[in-house]
Amino acid sequence: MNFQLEKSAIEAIRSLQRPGRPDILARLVNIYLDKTPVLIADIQAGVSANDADRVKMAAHTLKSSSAYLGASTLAEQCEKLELKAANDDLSSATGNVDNIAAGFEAVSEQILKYA
Amino acid sequence: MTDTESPVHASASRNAPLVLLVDDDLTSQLMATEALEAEGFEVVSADDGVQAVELFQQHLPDIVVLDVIMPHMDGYGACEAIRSTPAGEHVPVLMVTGLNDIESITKAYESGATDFVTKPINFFTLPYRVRYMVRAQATADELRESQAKLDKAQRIAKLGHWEWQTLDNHWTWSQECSSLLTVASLDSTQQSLLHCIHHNDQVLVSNLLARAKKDRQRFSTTFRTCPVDDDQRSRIIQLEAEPDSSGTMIGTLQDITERVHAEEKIHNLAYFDTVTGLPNRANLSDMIEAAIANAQQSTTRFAILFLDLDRFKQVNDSLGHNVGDALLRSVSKRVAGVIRNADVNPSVEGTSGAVNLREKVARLGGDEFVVLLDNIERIEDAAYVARRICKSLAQTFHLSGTDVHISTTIGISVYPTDGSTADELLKHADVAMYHAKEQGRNCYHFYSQSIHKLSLERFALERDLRESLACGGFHLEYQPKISIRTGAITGVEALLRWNHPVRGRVSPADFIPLAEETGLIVPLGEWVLKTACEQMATWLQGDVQPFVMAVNCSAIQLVRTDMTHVIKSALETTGLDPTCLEIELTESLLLQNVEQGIAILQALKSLGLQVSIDDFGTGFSSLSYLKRLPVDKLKIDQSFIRDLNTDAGDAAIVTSIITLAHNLDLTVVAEGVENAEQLGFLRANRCDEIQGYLISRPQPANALTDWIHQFNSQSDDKAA
Repeated sequence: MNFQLEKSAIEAIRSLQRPGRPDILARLVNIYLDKTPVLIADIQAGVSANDADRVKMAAHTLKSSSAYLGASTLAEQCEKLELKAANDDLSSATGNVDNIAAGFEAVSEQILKYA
Repeated sequence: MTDTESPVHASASRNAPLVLLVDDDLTSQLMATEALEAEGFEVVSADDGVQAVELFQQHLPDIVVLDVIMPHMDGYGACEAIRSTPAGEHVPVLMVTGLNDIESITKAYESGATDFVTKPINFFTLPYRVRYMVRAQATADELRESQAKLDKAQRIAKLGHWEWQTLDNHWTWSQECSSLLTVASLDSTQQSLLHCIHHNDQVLVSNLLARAKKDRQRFSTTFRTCPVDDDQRSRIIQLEAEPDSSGTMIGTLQDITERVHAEEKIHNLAYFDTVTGLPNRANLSDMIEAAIANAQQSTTRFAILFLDLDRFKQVNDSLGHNVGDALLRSVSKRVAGVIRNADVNPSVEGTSGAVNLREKVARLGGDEFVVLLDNIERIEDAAYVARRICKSLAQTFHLSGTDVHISTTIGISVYPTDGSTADELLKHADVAMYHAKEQGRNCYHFYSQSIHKLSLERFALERDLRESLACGGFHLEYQPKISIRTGAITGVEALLRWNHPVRGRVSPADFIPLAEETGLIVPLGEWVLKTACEQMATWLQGDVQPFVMAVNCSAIQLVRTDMTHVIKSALETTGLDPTCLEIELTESLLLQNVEQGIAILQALKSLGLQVSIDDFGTGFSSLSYLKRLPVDKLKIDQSFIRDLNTDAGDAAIVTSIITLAHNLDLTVVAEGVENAEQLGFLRANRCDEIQGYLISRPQPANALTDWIHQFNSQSDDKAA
């Protein structure tokens, strides 16, 4: 599975940068690196406990932030899981969870340089 | 800042518009914040719905950007919560939903969102979207504020506006409309309007609307609302509208109840008598004009009854205005009652069933009333009603503990025979009434040409009387009286003469009654008294033997004026001794009120002058009170003297009067003595004095002066 970041997303974030303000891309990457492990832990715990709502909420949030950073494959995996959770069917969710964890590792490597 | 203030005011106190940004995704929150701040917004951020509601109330932002899916409280819940706060009712809310998620878009609008944007958010266009929404909201706020002002103004003006799409019959109402129509609410149907309208006016409005729909013309009408339970008075509403270019009727509703009531009050004051509530003179003229128009069209006739209450002035003067007013009210009720119940006319032969009279009663002022009897079939109908009114008003009135008796005199004129205008008919009814008064009161009289002629003559005579009184057109003549026993002059009677430049010599019998009716007798009588006293003083200063000057005095003068005061001042001015003055009165003074008459006579006697009763025998004097009268003389009326020698009856009367007078210690004077036979009879029956052509005709002062000298010298010769 290819978790390559889309460059255009990074450019779009950079274009929001205002002169004299802290580096927006760095702040965004730091927030992402901070919050994502918490969300993945939430997803894993939710799946173990078969708590669909918890899984849905965390997958949704991770989908949103991943998409903004250009991690569209990861965002797709989140969306799939979110849909399963929304249908209250976590029976086949383990694969998605694994993909999401792997995806985050790949994305982290690519964005670490912006932090 | 309190939560009752609107967000418009909150933003006014800020330099930059404030955005409340709600998103649990911090990356999204950060980018949106950067984008909005870059475009000049201030941003407050919340991570979930609960926090969002708290921050909203704390900061009162100009706009809320709200993510849907959040922990604790989602976007829908937060939106509803914000909307339910006082400041949150109108704040724009931009909801962030999933792409193509129609369900959540619908849900967003249902929860009160103003607009939505899908994820992923385009942060470059977001600030423009937000700015547009803030501006739109400011415009909406201004509009709402202006609407509120308009509503307030319309509420004060009791004005509402409405629109009527005539094509699909759809009505919309401004807020004020329902309260003007005293209903809780109005729906989009015409029926909801008609339901509010008084049932008597419903057809009118319904027809008008149908016509307006067809013609697309402007219209205006007024109607009454249905009376509300506890307030039984209807409101009066003016409904006006004009069509716009698309065929929609744009209209107003206005409560004009107070204006109409004020107009009614003004109208009532102008057209109705405040004492009786009856139509007044102005109103009556209109009523008669309408009756004329109606009678012309249907070639029918109607009658005017002109009522004048006899003795009303006395009631008003002696019992006060309150009783007078109460009497007028009772009279108006009785008159109206008589006419309403004038059902069967028993005096007209062959009549059965109801007399078809439509009545109108008006008060002209004072004690004058007018009845308009519309559409009478026979002249007798008017007479019948007049008789019924006379009879009804002659019954005793019980007014606040006082029993009052009056009567009424009625003059009747009939259209078209007695006049063609309201003025003419009224004038002629008045003339007929006057004529009826002369005939004796408590009766009615129809107008006719002959009485009109009489009234014109009377009017001219009155005018001439006034003129002559003002410019010295009267003079006095004097007729002497002598003592049968001594043959000496005992006195003269002053007699009023009127020599009119056009009329010539007018008999006192023709003008004295009119002078009495018009009250002109008062100044005229004073002039006579003063002139006679002056003449007597002149004679006494000359070398004539003293005698007594007799002046006639009308009962009207004695009752209406303080005659003792007038006499006293005439005596003082001329320096005449009261014993040289005699007042001659007729019995008529004693006719109305004996006690008052006696009091007046006593007052005259107390001045030291003599009082005689003139024309004795022709009146209605009761012998029983003759002895109580403080008088000195009786003058036997000349009608008894004229045929004294041929009519045994007259002779008996004269003899009786002389005997009676002497028994009461009164002097007797015979008037109108023209020949020696009459004198012989009177001497034989011991009459004291005579007056008449046998002695002398009445003569002007100068002529009489000569006559006196001549008479005295002849007497002296005889005596010698």
